[in-house]
Amino acid sequence: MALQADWSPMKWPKGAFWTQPASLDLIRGSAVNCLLIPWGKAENQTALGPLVTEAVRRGIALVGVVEEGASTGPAAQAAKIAGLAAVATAKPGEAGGFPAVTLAKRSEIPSGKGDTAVAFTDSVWPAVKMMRAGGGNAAGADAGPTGAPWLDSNLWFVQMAKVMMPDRPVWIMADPAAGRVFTRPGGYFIAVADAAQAGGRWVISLDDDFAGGLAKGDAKAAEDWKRVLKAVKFFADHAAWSKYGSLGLVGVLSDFRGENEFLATETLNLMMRRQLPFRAVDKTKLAANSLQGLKAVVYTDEQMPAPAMRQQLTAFARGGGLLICTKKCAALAGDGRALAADNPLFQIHSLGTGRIAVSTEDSIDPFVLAGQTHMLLSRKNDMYRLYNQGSATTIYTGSPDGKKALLQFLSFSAGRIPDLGIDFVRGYRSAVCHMLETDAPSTVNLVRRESSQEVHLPGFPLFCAIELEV
Amino acid sequence: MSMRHHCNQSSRRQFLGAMGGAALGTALTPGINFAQQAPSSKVVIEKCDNYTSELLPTLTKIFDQLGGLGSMVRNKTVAIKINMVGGAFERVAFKPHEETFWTHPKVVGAVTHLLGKAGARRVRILEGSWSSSDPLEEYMMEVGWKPQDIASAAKLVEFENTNVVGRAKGYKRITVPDGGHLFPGFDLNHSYSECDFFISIGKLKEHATAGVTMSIKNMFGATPVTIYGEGAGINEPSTDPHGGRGPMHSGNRQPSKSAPSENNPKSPREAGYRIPRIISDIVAARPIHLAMIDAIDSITGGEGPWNRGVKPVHPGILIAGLNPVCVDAVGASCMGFDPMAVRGTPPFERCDSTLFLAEQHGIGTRDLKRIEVIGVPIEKVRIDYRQYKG
Repeated sequence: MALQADWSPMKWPKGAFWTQPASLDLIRGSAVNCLLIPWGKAENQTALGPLVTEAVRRGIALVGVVEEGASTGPAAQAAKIAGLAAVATAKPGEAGGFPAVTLAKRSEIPSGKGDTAVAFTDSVWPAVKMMRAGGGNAAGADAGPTGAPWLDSNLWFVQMAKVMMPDRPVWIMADPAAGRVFTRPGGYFIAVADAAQAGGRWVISLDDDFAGGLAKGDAKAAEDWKRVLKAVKFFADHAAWSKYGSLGLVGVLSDFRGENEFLATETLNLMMRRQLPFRAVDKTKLAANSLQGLKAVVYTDEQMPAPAMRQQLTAFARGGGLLICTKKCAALAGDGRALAADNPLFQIHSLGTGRIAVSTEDSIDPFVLAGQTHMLLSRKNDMYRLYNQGSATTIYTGSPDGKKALLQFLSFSAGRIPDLGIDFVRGYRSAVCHMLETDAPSTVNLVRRESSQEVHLPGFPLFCAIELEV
Repeated sequence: MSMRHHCNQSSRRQFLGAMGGAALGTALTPGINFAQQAPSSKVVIEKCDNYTSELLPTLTKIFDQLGGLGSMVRNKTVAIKINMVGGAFERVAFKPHEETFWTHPKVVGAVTHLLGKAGARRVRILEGSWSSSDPLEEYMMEVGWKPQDIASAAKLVEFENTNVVGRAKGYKRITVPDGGHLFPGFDLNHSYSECDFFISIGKLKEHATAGVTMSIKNMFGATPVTIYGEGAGINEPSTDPHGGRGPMHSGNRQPSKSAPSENNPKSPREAGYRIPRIISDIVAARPIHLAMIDAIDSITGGEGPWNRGVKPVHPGILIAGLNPVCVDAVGASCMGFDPMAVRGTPPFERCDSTLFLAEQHGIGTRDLKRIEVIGVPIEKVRIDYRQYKG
């Protein structure tokens, strides 16, 4: 069976209740159509036998997780016999041809071709990062370098992973972290949306209290579960959005691997925090049109690019673009004319009608790089502005035919602030707003400002997707 | 470039002499009627209903009534501290920042234009960008302003994010002539001292900590958070601004050691005591030559959207004068407050009166009986902010 891109996976909880076939009723009629079950040990395979039989009968795709230390080959063989759809393993090559979801660390994005999902096991639980303040008992939000609370989010990573392995589903594995403050079902909505808005899928994982409540038939747990399933369905229903491409004007060019990984990925992360839409560009797949539509390219790697890429980058600058590079790649500015120094962090060169900014630091801080990129490009190129957003992430994408744009907004704030405003610089003909828990989108007015259009959202949504008609 | 003090300073020196060096920092000295002896200067109030057609003619009229800008600014470097308190990310409901709690860019542009027309050699626009070393122009663009419109309003216009060291090599010290209520001096961005003529354009607002905020309280934002904020360096200023000015409110830490520390670190650690003193100290050290209040649109109930219950209000006026205490006293009255009020009475229920503390410094009187108001009478434009229902 080929692994399906439209699977909505869930890590099936442990415990007596969850081994019973009747427990599958909890996902009946929902978008959750793929269950991850422990499969590395023979006793698990035996204990889950009745559940497996019933799941297969219901057409639910089962993925047997081969835990660390267990052998993939025998597990895959047992899975095939039991009717599982796949195994999930860190060693997919040992599955003997049986479909395998790859379990990988974020630093190990598979480079080979394939269409099977990759589940990233060191993903973060998306939330405002909390810390104990002042050594006391009060928990406070950990401030990031912007002074705003730091957010743990997988959004930037999913965007990057989709670029690096465009044909493979991206699964985010993160359990509700023990001791982390989160609300239910709000924390689950965030986990679902954080991955799904960029086209990934969070592998649903229930905390013990939630799983226990469902097992006991607790009414509140059942109600929360219904709402979580509705959120999952929302993104399954809008799967087409995952084909939308980034509308960001800044490209981050790297191979995102090995020694280049830290600067490249942290730059993406911090651009996301700045609400600076970006396009990750994999230098190993750089095509003639890869830089099309960009106003700035940040080449974060420290190796001088090969001649063809170098030519493409300098041509980008000559044509009016802004190219930013590390000090070790200063030779990229070789044909440029150094301008008077007014920025201690970058030496700016003019080239054609564009600029090349070379870091003056041997080792550049990604926070500085993200911020300076924004400033060198200038906020006059910002595509939208947010007001009263609290702590939030956004992703701005466009349909392949160019007829629609989509701004997805996800709030991480515990307290709800009213009057969220999104100010779009580009003119749009109309806008509709999709919310997680409403069945149909609602039309929203585009309020004209002097040189932009605002969408006003009364009440503060946890998630909303503004679909705009060009 | 030396800091030139406005002509009011001569009367201020006389005032301080007359006070016999009455010690500041001692509690509100009884027996001295500061209001009767501090300098006075006329204040202009003019109606101005909008930021478009009426703005430039109204400002022109106001400046003419104050004696004309030419004699004040010709061939001079002029610095304007505007009010962009808080962050770009937060606003009052769906209203633009400038229509509620920030100085309107059209006011900044129009004043800049008139300064240029009056012969100012250079105009510098000053404000600290929230928690960031980004250029001030970029901070303005964050809310959709077009700083190029301001930049093109006069021949030479510069912008400075005064939360950081900016174009200079270091921060410049200003000192409080009488030693200060709380601080003997401050280290600020060079632009506050490297100017010949200094303007503060505030907004007509109440303030949660200081009771009211207009041209004087606006100066609190001159303090760089790299020295006075949560993220300030211990010994030296930090290079990047982080967070706000919490330590100035709470006194939980001293500024970077490179800057003057408090006169008395054992003084009350209470914002209602500290902030009014800090502000009046700043204004004593950095005299305001032209105090202006953008009161065309504003808010009641606080200084920004983070205060619960703030409401947009349209007083439809501009207020200006050459003495910030007199101007703010008139402004307070326009909001329905008695500028002679003391702690415990509106609007100073939980704080000392900045106006009184500034008056103690000898900057100006807050006594309306001694202030000549020209243009439109206060009674004709007064909106009782506390009673305002929106």
